[in-house]
Amino acid sequence: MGGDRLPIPRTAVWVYRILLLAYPRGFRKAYRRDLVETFADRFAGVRRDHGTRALPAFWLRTLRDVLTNAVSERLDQVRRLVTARRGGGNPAPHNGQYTTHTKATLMDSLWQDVRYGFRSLRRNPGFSAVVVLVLAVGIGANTAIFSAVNAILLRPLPYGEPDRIVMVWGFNPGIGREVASLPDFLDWREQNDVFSDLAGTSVRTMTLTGRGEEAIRVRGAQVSDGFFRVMGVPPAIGRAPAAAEDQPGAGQVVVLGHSLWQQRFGGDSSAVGQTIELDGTDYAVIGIAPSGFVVPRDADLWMPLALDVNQYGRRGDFLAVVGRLREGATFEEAQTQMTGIMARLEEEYPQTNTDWTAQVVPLHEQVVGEARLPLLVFLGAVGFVLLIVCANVANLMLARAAARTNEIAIRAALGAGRGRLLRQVCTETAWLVALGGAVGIVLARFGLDALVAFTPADVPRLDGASIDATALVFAASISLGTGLLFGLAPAVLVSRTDINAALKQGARRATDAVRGFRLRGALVVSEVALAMVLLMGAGLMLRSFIELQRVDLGFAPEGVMTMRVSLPRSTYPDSDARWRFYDRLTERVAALPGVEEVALASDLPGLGGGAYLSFVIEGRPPPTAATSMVQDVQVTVASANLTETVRIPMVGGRGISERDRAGAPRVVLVNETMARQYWPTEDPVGQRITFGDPQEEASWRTIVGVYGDIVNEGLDGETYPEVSLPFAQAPQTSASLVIRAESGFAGLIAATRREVRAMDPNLVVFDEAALADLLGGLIAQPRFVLAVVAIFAAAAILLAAVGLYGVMSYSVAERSGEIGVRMALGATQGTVLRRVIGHGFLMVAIGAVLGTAGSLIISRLLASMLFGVSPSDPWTFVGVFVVLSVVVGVASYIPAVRASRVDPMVVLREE
Amino acid sequence: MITPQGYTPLRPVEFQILLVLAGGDAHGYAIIRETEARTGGELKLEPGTLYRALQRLTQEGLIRESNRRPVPEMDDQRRRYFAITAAGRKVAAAEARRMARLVEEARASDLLGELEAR
Repeated sequence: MGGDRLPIPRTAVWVYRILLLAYPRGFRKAYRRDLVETFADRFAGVRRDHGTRALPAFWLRTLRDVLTNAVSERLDQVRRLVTARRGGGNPAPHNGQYTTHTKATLMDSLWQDVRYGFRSLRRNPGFSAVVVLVLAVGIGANTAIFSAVNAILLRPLPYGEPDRIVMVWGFNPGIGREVASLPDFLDWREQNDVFSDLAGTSVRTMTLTGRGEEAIRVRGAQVSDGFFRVMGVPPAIGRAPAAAEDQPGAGQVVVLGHSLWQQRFGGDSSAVGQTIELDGTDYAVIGIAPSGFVVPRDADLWMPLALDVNQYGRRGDFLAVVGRLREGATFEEAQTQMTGIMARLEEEYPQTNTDWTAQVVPLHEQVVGEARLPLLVFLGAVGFVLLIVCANVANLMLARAAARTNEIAIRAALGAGRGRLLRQVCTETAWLVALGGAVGIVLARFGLDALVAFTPADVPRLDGASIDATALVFAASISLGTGLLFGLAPAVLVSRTDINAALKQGARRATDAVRGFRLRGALVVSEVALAMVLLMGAGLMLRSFIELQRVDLGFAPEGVMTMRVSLPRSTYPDSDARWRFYDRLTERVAALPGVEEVALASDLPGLGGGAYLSFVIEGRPPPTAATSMVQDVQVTVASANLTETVRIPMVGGRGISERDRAGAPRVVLVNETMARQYWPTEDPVGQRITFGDPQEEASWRTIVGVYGDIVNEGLDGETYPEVSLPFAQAPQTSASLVIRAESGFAGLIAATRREVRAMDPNLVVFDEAALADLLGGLIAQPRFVLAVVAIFAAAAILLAAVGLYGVMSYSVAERSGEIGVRMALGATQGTVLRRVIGHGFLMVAIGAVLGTAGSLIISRLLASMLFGVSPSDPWTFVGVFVVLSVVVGVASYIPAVRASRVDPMVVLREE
Repeated sequence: MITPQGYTPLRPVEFQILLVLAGGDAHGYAIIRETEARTGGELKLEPGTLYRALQRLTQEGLIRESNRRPVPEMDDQRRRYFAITAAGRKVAAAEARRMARLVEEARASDLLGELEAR
């Protein structure tokens, strides 16, 4: 049976042994060894079979097991006891592990302790309230953050067997991950045998009209056959598209998303079988997706891809590919096979596929992605706060235990055993922890709500966060851990109290008080160190945030309003029709009151998002497989006066003008980076490039101007090469109106909407926003992370200050005799003040040294979240040290002043 | 005197443990693995639940600690093995009969018709 013994996980076993303390003694004595053995076997087994990734879940299960069974076992004991007392017989023969008599006394005295503990807390309502509140804040903050982490990182995705779902990306070392082209995707699907299904998806916004209701914009996902099988989520009503419907020419069927179904059909299941009109084409509704299913990318509805492979090139990348691993297949096998397929394609199509390979990414990793690091930072920060809370509460408890040495000594003298005294301290701790935990859970609810409300919208899955059973187990276990941490010190102190000495000398002089004092000093040092690490983190993020805000956008978004209008192909079939519409619309909007300038743009400046196209420069060899060069550029399309409207400076040549119409010579603007990269020594103006077939004269465009660089890859990214085509020469089906106006954005939106309706009642105006607000979204995440970490850091420094203040006041009170003597011997108030403050600063200095060492290690982990500041930025260190010194100064000043006012006569008389 | 029926219905965990031990003596971890395999992964026993159930069963006299050990090199000597008692066999059988009757009743009321037709 046990021929395959695995190495014993020592640390884990040690932790488990501690957890076992939750069980009643009798049970523990009887089964501890077996429990530990079994635990060790399972731990090793889980680690071997599922790797360390499975361990957090394993620990949670173990914790739940210990807690629920320990509580049940204790309840069982009480039940047995009650039955025994009532004289009722135990139905089963009891093995007599421990007698009823000892159990009765045990239960009685335990109950006494509980009551005594509660009474003594009630005697000091101020003390108890402070401790409970401090604990509640620590436990609450941790529980709230844990709930978010659980919702985002730990909870499985809401799909069928989500562990088997992956995303497959094209990958090029020069470009990174890229979506796939239709021909590549079809080859993947054909040639693999690791996926039970592989589906390509592409999302575009469409206009839903008809049914006599207002036209709205919806996100339509075009999905290839098998998409619903990949996700493991069949439609709740009706069916998914069939394979035959995923053929060119077929595919006029649609599965509605749950919320769109509610909104458009009021949740009526007879919607299946009806038709809806999307971009002017009729689609038959064949199914309704279950509530909450919105992949990919917040889709409102799904329709077959139904594309003709002959019309798509191998580098026309637009398909996000998801796959379901066949039963028994692993990620590694999938990756190996995809790499093999891409290698074959590379050989077969060197023109397009050189240097392209594929990457298989688990869906969970894909979804969680960038949210992981900030979350772990939050978890770390909030954990630090909890440690400081523990140190603080331990401090308070120590002070009280020292003050109560006398009381304890008397109780001991009256016959209370050492174990009993210890238990009393423990029940008090238990009360505090229980109350703190309960209040903490309530605080966690509010904290989580606040967190969700202030989180930038692009954080995935947070809306599912709640204080659920897992979070409660977590809260309970950290409360337990907290209790052990802060309850330990006073318990040790009590157990070491020398009764005789205490009784003889009175509490204040007991040597144990001095030992307690040293312990408290050590606690303050660690608090300062922890707070310092948090302050450093917050300081670095603040610096990085300031740097981000300093980034020069390259244009002026203030006072610019944007909104978008899309034209369905059915009513605006060609470039001419589209240009006629947009040209007239801009004229009408320009005539509105308050409007200074109006321009059209395919993509908004500063937000990236233009299409990447490869191009050829006239007179230079085209990029080929041999040179393996990737030569592509981000292309946007804009009308004549966009540069003026958003104040992008021209640095050479001319801007786009009204003359650059459909029939006129084709022109293009390039940005500075493009000019520098491709024409480092020449003037790009007058050069020609093409995005089409170089053999075809009509495809060439002449560069007529160079415009200044604007941010196009996020604030922390480098500016990429970019070109801008005249809108009139490439009219788009969808464009943003970019309007500079004096004021009154709200009125402007309404007026523009009226103009659009007047021109075509079936069109929708959408995505209305001030350009400055949209750009503000770029710093939403760093601002959020900064805010959270700053709150924790502030809490940390406050708690550390409170701890320091407590210890200083205590030590001053303790040493008033000594101070009195010194003053009697001629020490001035100034020297006393300096001595006391100096003592405070000594503790802080030790803490700061430790904290600096800690932050140097930890800030390295933050490096990837920082921008424009080094993780060991000296100025941040200086700033943090100044803040710390000020806080410490204030915290030790008050006790120091009190010390300096000691009247030597009063003190000496007391002696 | 309590009849075997007096112990039923058993908790599912207890019944599974008796089933495993009916096949031979076993230690805790083996019981966990065996029940997991037997139920197709549906019943994953945690150590606390397992040993509390073992304690109950021992106290009720349905199982006992076993003196039997495999050959020393096969396993760690310190592990505690459990064995089913004669009373345990009777109770397990009584529980199985009780369940069989339940299935009969369900079949009689045609509840399973749909299921078994598959």
